[in-house]
Amino acid sequence: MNLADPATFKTLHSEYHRMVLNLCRGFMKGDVDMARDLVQDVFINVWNALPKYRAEASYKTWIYRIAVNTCLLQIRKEKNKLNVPLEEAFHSTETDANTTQLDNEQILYRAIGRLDEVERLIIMMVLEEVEYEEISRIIGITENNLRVKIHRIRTKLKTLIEDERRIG
Amino acid sequence: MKDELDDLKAMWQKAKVSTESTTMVDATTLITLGAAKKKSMLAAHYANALILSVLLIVLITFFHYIISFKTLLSLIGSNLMMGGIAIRIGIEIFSVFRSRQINISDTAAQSLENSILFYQFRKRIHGPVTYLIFGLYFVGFYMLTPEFLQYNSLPIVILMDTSALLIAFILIKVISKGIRKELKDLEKIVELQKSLTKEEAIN
Repeated sequence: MNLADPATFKTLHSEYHRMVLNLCRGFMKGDVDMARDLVQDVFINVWNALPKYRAEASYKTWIYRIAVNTCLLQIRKEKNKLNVPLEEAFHSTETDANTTQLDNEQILYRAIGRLDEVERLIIMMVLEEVEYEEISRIIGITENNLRVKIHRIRTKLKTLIEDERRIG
Repeated sequence: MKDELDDLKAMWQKAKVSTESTTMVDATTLITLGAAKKKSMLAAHYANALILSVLLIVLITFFHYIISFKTLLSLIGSNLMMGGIAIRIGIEIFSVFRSRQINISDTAAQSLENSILFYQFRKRIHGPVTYLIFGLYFVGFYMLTPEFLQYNSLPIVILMDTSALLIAFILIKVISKGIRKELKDLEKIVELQKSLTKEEAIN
């Protein structure tokens, strides 16, 4: 029996599902359908872990931790699915934005998709403007090590974006 | 470098707009799915222990109430079979306990560390220990052959012993496949952990 409070869960779901979706979409190289499935797994895990929540971290940090761990678990569960070519990832993109915006979006997701899994998760939190101190509490590495990693990842991402622009 | 990051963030703010219109599964459905997942995980965790317990009960009933062995060799053999299964049940239950130490809300580094410890434990029990228990079971089974011959015809005993060989072959294949899968998982987790916790320096 789950002793979690459904009302608390509903509030958390409504408050944080966009945040989790953005993380998952970056992790899934822009594929909205796969990201949605992953978000569902994240919140199922949130519901099952809720009775053990001890307020040692904020709900945001706690949910980010569950989301990051669920993404890393996904690599083991469905390695093949994660290898979906980036071109296919955009077939399911729901948008009525103009072509330029779509191009930029695709370029960014393609570039993020070429980072490795851990780099993808870190940069998604950086882009979502999560504080470095909070990211280090989510990931479990020192803030100094995180800063160096972020410095390297953003340089790499910038190069990948330029590369994607050149390829067109 | 700060401008570079601001550019990336600005690009991201524009890119994520299309995500905003995405419809999501509602919270009530997720609660139902969560309950179902918990049940199926519990069933999956205890499935091996449950199947082995049924086998143990069948063997105890068979050896104690249907066939009453008289020779020392058969008694040792039957106890080797039952003892091996009992040890395996204990290991399966301990394995469930170990897997519960992996907490999904820990930091990623901690969660990967616990996963590695769990898979290293699985590697130990799936490898030598499993083959030892497996060996004990089949050695025990073949120790029953002389006494079986006293009550059954030779062709029947030959059929029993050969079919046991076939079962052993299938089980070895299944176990090897499981070991290979878990070793691949372990390699992937170690790779992720290295990528996550590696201390880096600015060039």
